[in-house]
Amino acid sequence: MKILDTIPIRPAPSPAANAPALLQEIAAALDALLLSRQRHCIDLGSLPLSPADRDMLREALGTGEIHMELTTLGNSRIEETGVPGVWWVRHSSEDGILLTESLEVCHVPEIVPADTTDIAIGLQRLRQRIAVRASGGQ
Amino acid sequence: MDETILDAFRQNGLSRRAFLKFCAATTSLLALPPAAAAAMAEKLAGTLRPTVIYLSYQECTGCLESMTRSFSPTIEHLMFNNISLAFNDTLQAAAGEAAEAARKEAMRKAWGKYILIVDGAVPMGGGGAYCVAAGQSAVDDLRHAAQGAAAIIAVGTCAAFGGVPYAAPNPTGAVPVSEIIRDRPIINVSGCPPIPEVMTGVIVYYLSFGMPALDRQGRPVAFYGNTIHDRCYRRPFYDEGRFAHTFDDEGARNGWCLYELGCKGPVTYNACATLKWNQGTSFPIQSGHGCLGCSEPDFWDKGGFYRPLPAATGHWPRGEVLGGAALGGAVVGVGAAALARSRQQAAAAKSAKEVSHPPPKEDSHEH
Ligand code: SF4
Ligand code: SF4
Repeated sequence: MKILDTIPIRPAPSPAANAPALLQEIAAALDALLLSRQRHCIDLGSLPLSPADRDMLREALGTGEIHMELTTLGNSRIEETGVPGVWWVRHSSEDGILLTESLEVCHVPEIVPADTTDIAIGLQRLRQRIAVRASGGQ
Repeated sequence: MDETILDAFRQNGLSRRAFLKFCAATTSLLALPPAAAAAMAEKLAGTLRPTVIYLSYQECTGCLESMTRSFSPTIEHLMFNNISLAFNDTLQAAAGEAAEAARKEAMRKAWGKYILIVDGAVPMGGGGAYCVAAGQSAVDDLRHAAQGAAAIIAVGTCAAFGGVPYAAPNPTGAVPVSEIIRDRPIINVSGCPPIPEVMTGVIVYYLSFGMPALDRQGRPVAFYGNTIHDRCYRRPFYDEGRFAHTFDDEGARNGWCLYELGCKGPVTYNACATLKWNQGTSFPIQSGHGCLGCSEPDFWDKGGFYRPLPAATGHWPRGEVLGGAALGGAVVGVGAAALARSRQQAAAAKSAKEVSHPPPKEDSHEH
């Protein structure tokens, strides 16, 4: 298959263009978060981002202290960047295909805290298990 | 049956997190602002699971094939198992009279509220005799089913615009759904086949926010708002006037623009250039072949897939063929566009003689 590699395919030109504007948007969103606790979310999939843009974003935001992995409907990675309050969120499908990638500006992404109904359902299950144990079952 | 969509998620052991993830993925697919994910989650959490009735007429099952090969099985799977109660001849286990009975019962229960998906054109010739199932012609079946539908989604170019069955000389007298049903909201999801994520995305959008904004061809603007050419990664070569002239010349090897090889990208509204096909792998232009224009009305009858655009049409409004390109291109593009335009005029004069076609229906697009 080496012959295939000899066919020159010109990659589409990719001037780094959008990262600087994105960084400004993030800074403004952080301002709003501090002043009025307003959340903000930027869908990275909806913007034409060249590899150069991505590198610039990664470099400017850095790596933070929290890395979370969510395992429902496939994996999701939720990472705080080196700028507190800016989260890099990637949701993938069960077969590992990226569904959406976004930057969330907030204290904690909404998907992280446990939901009240889910807590109630879990509690019910726990009580059943306790009851089964108390009655001598497994 | 009075189960909400969120309930259905929980029935399947999925948490609210899974639900939020689904909403985030769908919002992004629909190119909605990310804030819409929260609104969608709130709406869907309280929405009752809808019944979806999927009817197939004069079609090749390619659209359904496409849908069941959605690149995010998650979404497609959720769509049919958690979000809706779906009835489809091809997918369901029941057959024959049992299947007919199940469908009738589902329609009766959800009368006035179900979403009707129609795939395929409807033959009117011979009193509808070209497509009959269980003793009923497609046209009668459609008229009846439409009466109980809240909205109709015409999936594929055949249902939306007539497609292949409608192509000249149209021996069966095929027509699109919109020519038979006039008193129900119809969303056209065209393409031969449509992109699978577009089909599921449209259904979720309808459930969350009601009718989507449509273009003049009845297609959701979210997916059909741009031409292939608007978003084509070969566009810089078009603007520079660098074209492939055969499929094996230097231009083809260098990945230049396929305009001269008949690409219909400039007049085709679809999301292929951004969403792509086959698990986001590629789309025709990326594989070296021009766009066939499959999501546009009469794409079979536009004079040949390999004839460069202007010569191929005869009835595309001239300003629109290259208008966007000529305006959007950088200074270097002006030369190429002017060249293409003069050729186009010559070609239009030529094809005016050649066209012996049924008169065009309403011509496309406000763009
Ligand atoms: S004519 Fe076709 S290949 Fe060329 S830029 Fe437009 S869409 Fe792309
Ligand atoms: S590239 Fe053109 S012909 Fe191909 S699927 Fe998309 S719209 Fe249809």
